[in-house]
Amino acid sequence: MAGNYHRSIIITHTTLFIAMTTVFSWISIPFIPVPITLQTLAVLLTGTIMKRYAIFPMVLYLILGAIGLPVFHNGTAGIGVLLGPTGGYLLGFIPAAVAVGLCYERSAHFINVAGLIMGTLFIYLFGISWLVYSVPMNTLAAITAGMLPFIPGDIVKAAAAFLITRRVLPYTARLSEK
Amino acid sequence: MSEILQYIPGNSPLHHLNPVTKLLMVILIVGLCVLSSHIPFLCLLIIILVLGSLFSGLINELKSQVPFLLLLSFFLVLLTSLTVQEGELLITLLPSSDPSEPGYGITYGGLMFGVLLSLRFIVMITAFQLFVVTTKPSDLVTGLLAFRLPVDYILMLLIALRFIPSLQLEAKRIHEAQLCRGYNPGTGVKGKIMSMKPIMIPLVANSLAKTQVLGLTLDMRGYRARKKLPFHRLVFNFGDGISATLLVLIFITFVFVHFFQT
Repeated sequence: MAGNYHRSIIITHTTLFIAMTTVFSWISIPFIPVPITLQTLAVLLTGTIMKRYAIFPMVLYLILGAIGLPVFHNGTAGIGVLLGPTGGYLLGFIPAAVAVGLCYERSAHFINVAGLIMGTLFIYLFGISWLVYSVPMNTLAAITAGMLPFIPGDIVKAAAAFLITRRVLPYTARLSEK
Repeated sequence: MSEILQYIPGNSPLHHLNPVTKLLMVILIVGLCVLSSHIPFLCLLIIILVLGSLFSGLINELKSQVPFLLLLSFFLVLLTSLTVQEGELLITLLPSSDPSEPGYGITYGGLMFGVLLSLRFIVMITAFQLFVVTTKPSDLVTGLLAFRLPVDYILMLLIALRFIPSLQLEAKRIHEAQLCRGYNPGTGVKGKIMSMKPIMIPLVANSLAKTQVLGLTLDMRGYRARKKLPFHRLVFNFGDGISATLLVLIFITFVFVHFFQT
């Protein structure tokens, strides 16, 4: 193979997942009691397909938002969103995608499912910690406002990520081997 | 949602500024308006922004924001004047049972706090709007080279910007193709979720296939490791000097207003 195919594939996959996270964060499904966006589905898919390299798209996505392009939920942007009350969830995307990716380097299904659950929990952990820190709010109230309403949606999204990955993974380039 | 790239092509001085200068200006202006609680200073910032937009013929862009900003200010003033109870009572809404104490009503402190908040929001939204309208996203990303970000990452960001509209188009096309095949986007919560399935899987699979072709192309075109790409380098020109001077002046005014005048 000419040049460095592995490197080019990582570059193009990264671009795809930055774009996918952006586009999915603009789509929202009206859901009771809070609308769910597909943003975390894109994060989980990033992990499942890019494996350990999932850190690139997530970091670059946050950089793109921080320099002022409207890539966050509902077309918001700027460093203010990252430092605002919901910024923790965005920062949590990085460990979440990496955790999912590391678990998807194994082929056993139960490890994969555990990875998806762990990724979702990482997003909650970062989001709620930052919520408690940035808004004067006690932990219980933060969990009630920032975690419980999202659980049904996140279960659906994790299941969707698992099923979609099972369908498309055989056709993707293997990223984890050089 | 439809248009991420709200960039409006033009030939004004603001368009010709270096994106890095513009980014720094926006960050500084937003930072100062958050730190400042001095109403005349915020008014000065608004005047500068309006003058800047007049100067570069973008006043219509700002005019379209005026109804929204007025509505936002109205609600902010209403909210703060009903909740913040500070200073002199201007209008009594509920008289107190004890005649020696003032009742509940609209106070001077609450009103001023509302005005301050709305001015802050006006400055932030206007500055950001001007920035987005006059900066080409690809230029902005290339501007990151000034911050010594490696070329690989710049390339990723540039391609990602190009990918966003094409992914949206792809989703729309798949949706229409599935409609032709008689797929019924259901109603209700369950239907909404189920209706995602026939779009999601082809979308992910198609775009993954596209990235693999793109990766192969990139490789064949000779994207080798550690080779410099002929990026369009951005230069700092006369206008950047002027705006940097303006920034320094704004900063000096801020310091003067807040620390030397009580």
